[in-house]
Amino acid sequence: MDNVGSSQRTGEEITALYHRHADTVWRVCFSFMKNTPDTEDMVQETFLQLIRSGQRFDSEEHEKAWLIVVASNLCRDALKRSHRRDVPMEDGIPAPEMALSPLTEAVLALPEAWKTAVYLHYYEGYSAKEIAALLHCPHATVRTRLMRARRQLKTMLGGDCHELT
Amino acid sequence: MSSHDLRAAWDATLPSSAVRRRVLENILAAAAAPEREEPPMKRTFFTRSAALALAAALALGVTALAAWHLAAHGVTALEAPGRTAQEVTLYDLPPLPFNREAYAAYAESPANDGSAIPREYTYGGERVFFPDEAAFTKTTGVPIPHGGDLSLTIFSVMDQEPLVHQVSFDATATLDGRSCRLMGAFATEGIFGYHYGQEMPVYDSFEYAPGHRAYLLEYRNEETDVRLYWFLFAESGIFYRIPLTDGTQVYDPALTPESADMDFYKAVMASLAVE
Repeated sequence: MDNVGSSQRTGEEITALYHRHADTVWRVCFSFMKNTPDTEDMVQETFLQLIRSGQRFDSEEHEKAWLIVVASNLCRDALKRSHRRDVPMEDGIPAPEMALSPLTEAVLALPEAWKTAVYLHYYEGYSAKEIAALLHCPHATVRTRLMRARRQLKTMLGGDCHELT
Repeated sequence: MSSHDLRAAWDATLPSSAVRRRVLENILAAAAAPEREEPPMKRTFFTRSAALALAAALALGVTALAAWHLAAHGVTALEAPGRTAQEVTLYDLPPLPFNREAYAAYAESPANDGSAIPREYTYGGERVFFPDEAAFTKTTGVPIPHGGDLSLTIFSVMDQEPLVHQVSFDATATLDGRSCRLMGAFATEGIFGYHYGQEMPVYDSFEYAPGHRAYLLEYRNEETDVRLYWFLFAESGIFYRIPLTDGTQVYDPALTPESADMDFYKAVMASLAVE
């Protein structure tokens, strides 16, 4: 088991780490970037952040939480940079078309903060309290974001979102 | 639409196995390469302080659940440069009233935005149903303890969480023809809210009635530098917040403690005060 780069993780450990959390990190990044090429970059950067930091975690949950927060921050940062430069993330490279369902489109269209809360709550199963801890914001704010996201999805899709409570 | 549909929506964004493999190969290659001194995209977002903040936030999240400190919109230990840290701790607070008629009217009205959903849940092994004044009284306590000419119209009950039995509500408080938004949270087990590390400095504090103190908190949006102000106080088991603005509009960046009619807000709070 050879060491990789300056971190203490071996190639096998990195591969295992990636397989454990790749889907989660991908979903988080895609919700921000909304296209595959940029998402690839952000996923790669997220894992490299962890690998280069040399951080180890007591549990997979903690490891996942760290990756979610870092992935979100990286994407937000990248988007801000691209907005400041007023250029698309992938200059001149058209993003491949993905056939997304109306629901996926609606979810991706939610404001960033709401979308993150919805993902963490409904996909990852975090409670509002845990999300507040992750996102470093008041619990009441998370609940408000979830409520408003439900309301907007209901408006956009015209269906009954009361199941999402 | 269900939670299952939502999960499927996100899964639809997942990449092919080829893309997944390519990303892993890139990660392995980049990790094996010597670190560049000046990466093409400089990543400064995750600083040491951010890492510490994350760790602190995670720690606080756990601690907050165990602690009986509270904050409806984030207040436990409050500190700001040049100010003394203050702690707002509410405990042994008596109960709350519930305007069932107003709530029911709202829940059935077109104005209901989906937040006023009557729910059934188990409390103490028994099933109770909100909104139900008897159930409320049973789980929260007592009668509505406001006096004077203040009238309250509860138009939204935000959430009920069996874990901590927290209920928060949103109301309009009207006094002498003027109104303000009044938000409240209460719980039967002493937890009235949560704070996960966000600092909201105490801008000012004052007595609105003998022995009754309110805190004026300042929230600063770091990105926009907009500052918002909230009154925070506790009465009769309810942890109240009043955004510093007229009517029911919450955010009015133009309104400051200096330009607001503080006497009006103090009068509202005084009307809620119980001897």
